[in-house]
Amino acid sequence: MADYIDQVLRESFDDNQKTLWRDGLRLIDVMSQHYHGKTFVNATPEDRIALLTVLSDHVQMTDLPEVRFFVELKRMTVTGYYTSKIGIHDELEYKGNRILKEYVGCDDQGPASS
Amino acid sequence: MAEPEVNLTRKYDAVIIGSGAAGGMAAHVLTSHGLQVLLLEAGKKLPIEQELRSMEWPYDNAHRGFLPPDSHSMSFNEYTIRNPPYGPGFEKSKHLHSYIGSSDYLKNIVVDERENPFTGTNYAWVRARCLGGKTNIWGRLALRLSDYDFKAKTRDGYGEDWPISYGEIAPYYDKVDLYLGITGVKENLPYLPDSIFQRPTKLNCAEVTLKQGIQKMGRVLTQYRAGVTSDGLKHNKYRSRCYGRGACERKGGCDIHAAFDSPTGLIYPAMDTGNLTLRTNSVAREITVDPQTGKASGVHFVDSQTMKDYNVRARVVIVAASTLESARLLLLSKSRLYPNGVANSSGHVGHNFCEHVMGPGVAGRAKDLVGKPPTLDDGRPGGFYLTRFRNLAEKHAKFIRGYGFEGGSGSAMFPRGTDTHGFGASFKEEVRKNQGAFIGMGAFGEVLSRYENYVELDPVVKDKWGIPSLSFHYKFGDNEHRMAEDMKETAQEMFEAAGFEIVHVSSRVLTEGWSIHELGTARMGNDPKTSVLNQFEQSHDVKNLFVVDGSAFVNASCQNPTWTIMALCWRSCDYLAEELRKGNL
Repeated sequence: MADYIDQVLRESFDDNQKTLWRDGLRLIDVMSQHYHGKTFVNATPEDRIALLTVLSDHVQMTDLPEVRFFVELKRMTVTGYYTSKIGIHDELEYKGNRILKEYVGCDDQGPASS
Repeated sequence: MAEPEVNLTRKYDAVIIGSGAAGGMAAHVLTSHGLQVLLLEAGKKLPIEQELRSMEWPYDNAHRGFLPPDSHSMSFNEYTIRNPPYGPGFEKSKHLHSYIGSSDYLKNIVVDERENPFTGTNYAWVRARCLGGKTNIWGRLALRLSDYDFKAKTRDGYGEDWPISYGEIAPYYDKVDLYLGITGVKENLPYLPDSIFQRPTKLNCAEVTLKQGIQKMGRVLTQYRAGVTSDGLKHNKYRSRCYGRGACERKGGCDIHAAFDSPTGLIYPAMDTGNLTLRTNSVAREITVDPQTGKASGVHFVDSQTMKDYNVRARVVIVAASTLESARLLLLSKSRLYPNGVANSSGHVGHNFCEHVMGPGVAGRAKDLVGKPPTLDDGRPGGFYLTRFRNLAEKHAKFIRGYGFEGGSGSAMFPRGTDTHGFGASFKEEVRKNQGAFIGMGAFGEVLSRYENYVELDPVVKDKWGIPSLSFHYKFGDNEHRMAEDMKETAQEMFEAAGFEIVHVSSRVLTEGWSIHELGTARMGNDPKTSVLNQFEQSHDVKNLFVVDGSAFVNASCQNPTWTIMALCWRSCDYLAEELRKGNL
């Protein structure tokens, strides 16, 4: 996932997006210092989840760059994860994208309309 | 394929401008009558299978199927607050696409907006300049119109009736069905006539629940009527039957050509007659006119790559460049005889511009499907169509005309429901257990044909080839907004009747143009003062000039237009061939 996001940001033509990530990562550490006295990566897993929960519970506060960063982080993580082999095949057990003899559908097609 | 050399020193029987649904159909019908035809296409001939790559997994694509970073496609918000041609703000991205060009599979099919600018009111103008045009990527819903549409003025007093009735066009719908293939289920609805269907695809369980839920309201849900061959076509060696491979939901086309597209469905078979010559990269500038006779004499075009200009002569000129491009070309073709543009003595070219309004819709969850093992819900060309129910027997108090819904349900390669709250393991669990339970639908409604909605030539702005651009004067009106309000309410009411949990109700009307169903800019009619074409899509003013695409429509109805474009074109070209034989053109 990190590789996918790195690629998108590296190739991006959008400087605002890059700035959002730099500011966001910095502000997450500021937040983590405030709540837990440690940078985000040095905090315990429980403390990290607690911090992300604060952001996740306040996604409507988009005037704050750290919230905008969280929303963007989640969006890109979701995109990257569910377009990956793990996301498609292992997590969701997607069955399609192969040649089918006949689409199965519902056993009962319901009564005729007219 | 036997492909004759382009010979610009000869006079062709007919020259066709545009190779989409209309141009392809004109090529098919005219070559089958033995005429020598030249087909001009503004765009390239793409190696389409290499573009579409229907079965490529996202993780095997360099950008997971999304556009490369040097390209940008417009969003709803950008259309709303920025002005066409939408350039400023995207200086850094090399290519700018309409909203539909947001995937790696379409980036070479849709035009670069910067090379093809336009001005005026906001409009999501989707253009595909390549052999086959938008048929390479169309949504495939293939519906007939009925006399509820052709005779709509007689029913409610608004606008104009078409100069034809359903009975006159029905045999041509049949021909299109049999030649190109269509799947669906017979419903015997007077307002949505049945086609000659091949084997239908099935509904899935949430869709059956909705069908049953609305039946007591007297409303009809039927299998998606797709312009797709499910049984195969013995007479066409370029197309395979549908093998339900499942990339149909992805914005993009069908690279085994089970879904109709103009090249494999119409143009390649027409070439096999030996009567069709194709020239791509040929951007028409003007329909030329013989000042002695007043008849069309041919086409003046520029090679899109070399920028060189050419003329070709023909006994008949057939315009099939898409509704807005056809109007543009007629307006560009000014001469001493036709100072307002050829075929425009009525002043109606570019006017009466109409389409479908969309946006309102609903998403819900079938609670009995939550937590069930994953199912395979891809592998069919579409989900369902919920047919029109307004202004049929009863009159609605707030608006005239009608709308239908397109929708579908079930698991998809990229799951629905990723806007779920939270993150981590609980988020994934929530997405996983709901993935097969989602159902959604969105409405397509008739935008009234109004003289005040029009396009004209921009006096200043030109495209890459120096050809004046279009300027839009086009807005949805009160009837559309009142209809959109009703769409949202009925969508919600029907999902409630089916017992679905409502997840989201959308009342947002999408930017004008979003349906990609633009119509009406050279309408047919019996009166040359108020219409551009007669019932055979023949110019009232210039007898050897025909306009056979969506611009001929008198109203938009609420049904998707492609099948009607092709049926009308077939009828017109049969007439054309007969008139030419008689020496009347």
